[in-house]
Amino acid sequence: MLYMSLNEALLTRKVFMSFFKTFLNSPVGPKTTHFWGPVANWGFVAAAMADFEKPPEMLSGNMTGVMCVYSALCMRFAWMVRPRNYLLLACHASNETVQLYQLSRWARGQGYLQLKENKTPST
Amino acid sequence: MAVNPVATHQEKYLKTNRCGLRPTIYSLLHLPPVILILQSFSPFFLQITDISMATSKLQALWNHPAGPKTIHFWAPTFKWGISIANIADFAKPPEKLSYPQQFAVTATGIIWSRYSMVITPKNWNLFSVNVAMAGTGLYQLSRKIRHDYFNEEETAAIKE
Repeated sequence: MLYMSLNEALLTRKVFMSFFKTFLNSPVGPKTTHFWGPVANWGFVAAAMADFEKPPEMLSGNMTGVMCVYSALCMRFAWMVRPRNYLLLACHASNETVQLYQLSRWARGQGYLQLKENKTPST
Repeated sequence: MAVNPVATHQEKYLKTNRCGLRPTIYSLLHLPPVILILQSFSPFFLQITDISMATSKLQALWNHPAGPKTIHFWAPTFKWGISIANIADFAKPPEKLSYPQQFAVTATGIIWSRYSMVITPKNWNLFSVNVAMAGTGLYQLSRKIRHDYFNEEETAAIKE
């Protein structure tokens, strides 16, 4: 059975607490706006994931398309801004993925991704 | 002998006072207090006496570290697209709106509006775009809530 000596347990706890403290006090930590702004942007990812099961007619092509371009721009922004914001980068990378998936569902529902038959996209 | 255009330009330039205004009939403008006041409002009152001044100002804007050649300009600018897409969706029937998406847009707008005022320097561009996002999101939410919760009462009353 795996067990830790008291020393090892205290040491791992110390390491974890110091990591947590440095995170709390870091220049991109929860006391700064560099943290909470990206947290707000995770809401877009959560919203898109909540809409996975929705029928494609209920999706908004406008909003999804704009989100795809917007997340691409913000990935570049998060990389170039100083301090480099990895949290924002991760947020927009995942948003890009999710929004592209939703866009493909919407486009398929509209008839854009069909083979060349006598299908016309509905408005 | 033809008039020397360079000399007359130099004369005109030399006649300008400290803040770059050319003397006009409004000679009161030459008084020091007025000049100081005008200098404080210089972007609005200064005449650009040279075409090179104008082009150098434009060049300064074009080459700005947060200018149109950089991502620092285009990422916030494109955020207006979200509000515009939401406005385009005003025409959609409320059944087709998405609660999670509109809630995310509204929450993002409110949080970023607050934080754009907290950072230094204050970013009014970011503030305005996020206020617009929050506004359109709130309107869409109100449309959907009104349709879902208040129309039901009406249709139930009609059935009864």
